[in-house]
Amino acid sequence: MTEKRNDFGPLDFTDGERVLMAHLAAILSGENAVPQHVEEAAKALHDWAIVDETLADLSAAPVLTRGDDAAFTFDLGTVQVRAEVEPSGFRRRQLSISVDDAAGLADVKEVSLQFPDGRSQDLVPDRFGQYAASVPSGALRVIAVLGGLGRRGALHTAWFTV
Amino acid sequence: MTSGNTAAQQRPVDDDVTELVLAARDGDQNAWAQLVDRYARLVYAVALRCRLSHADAADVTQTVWLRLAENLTRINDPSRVGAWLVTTTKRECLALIKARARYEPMDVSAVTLVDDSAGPEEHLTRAESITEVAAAYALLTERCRELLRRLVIDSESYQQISADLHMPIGSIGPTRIRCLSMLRRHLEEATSHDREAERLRSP
Repeated sequence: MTEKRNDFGPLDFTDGERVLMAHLAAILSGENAVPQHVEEAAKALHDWAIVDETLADLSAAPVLTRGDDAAFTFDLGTVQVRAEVEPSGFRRRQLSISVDDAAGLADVKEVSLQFPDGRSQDLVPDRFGQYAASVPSGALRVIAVLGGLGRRGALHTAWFTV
Repeated sequence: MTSGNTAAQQRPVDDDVTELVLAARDGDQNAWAQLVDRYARLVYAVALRCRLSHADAADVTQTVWLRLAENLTRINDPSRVGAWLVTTTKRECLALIKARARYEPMDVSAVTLVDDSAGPEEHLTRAESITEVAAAYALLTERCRELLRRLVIDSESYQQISADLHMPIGSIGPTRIRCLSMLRRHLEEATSHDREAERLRSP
């Protein structure tokens, strides 16, 4: 088969096809750039789906809202987790986290951060009840253990990137 | 899985992606790995199209796969998981760009050197039509995606494609036409779905 070729292969494309192919080229040109470790990390994340099943009912259907551009607010029923983010050096972030229950029933027992590689970081409240932490940029989520709701329960936010 | 099965490869709908999602949902680590193999490159490529650095694209990619892991039981239509991943990637890009825009200082020298006054969100808007194509592309069968990838990126000859994908040369052109028409159909469906959603949001 004799072929004339252009950047997208044989020249027998229609104009409509060329537009689609150009858009595809814009996307697919980045496909081969994915580092091996990114794929391997993604494959290792499946276990989190199992881990989540062990967490309490309060984690169901979290709603992410953003009060402002650098704060992540998660509403879980009457409980709200708010994480404010500020820069803190090269690819590091300073987090300030608060956990509040609008109904005034929940009592915060523990707050920690969890990272996709399995590490966790326990946080200590300051005198205002805020939890501060310096973390590397990337994905994390907040785990909070609450009492005062009739039983002790844990909740987690969705994963978010800082 | 039906890899290597010619009849399955020529189905217009990628049934096995549904099987992969359902198996991953049931705890099958191998099915999850196959989903990652199938879509990880596309997710990363979409993140790069949002003008993120490679480090940020890696962060967003990780968040997107975490989102899928935690939402495996909530995905309504597993056959559309590829489009779900692309849409989620775009949303995570926007969240990161918005958050970073507030607290990271602008590189003034870069702004003056690059003749482009658009802000990051405008860049994202421009990229939207491309990410819509990416979402539609993610819905194609693995065979269609592989064929289009080879034509678009590698500019491979029909002879090469024929040898690698075990397709008669004469069927490559018609298959390409079918794949592109399927891509266009997915795009039109997405557009009409968006219009309907917009209509329902309007008072």
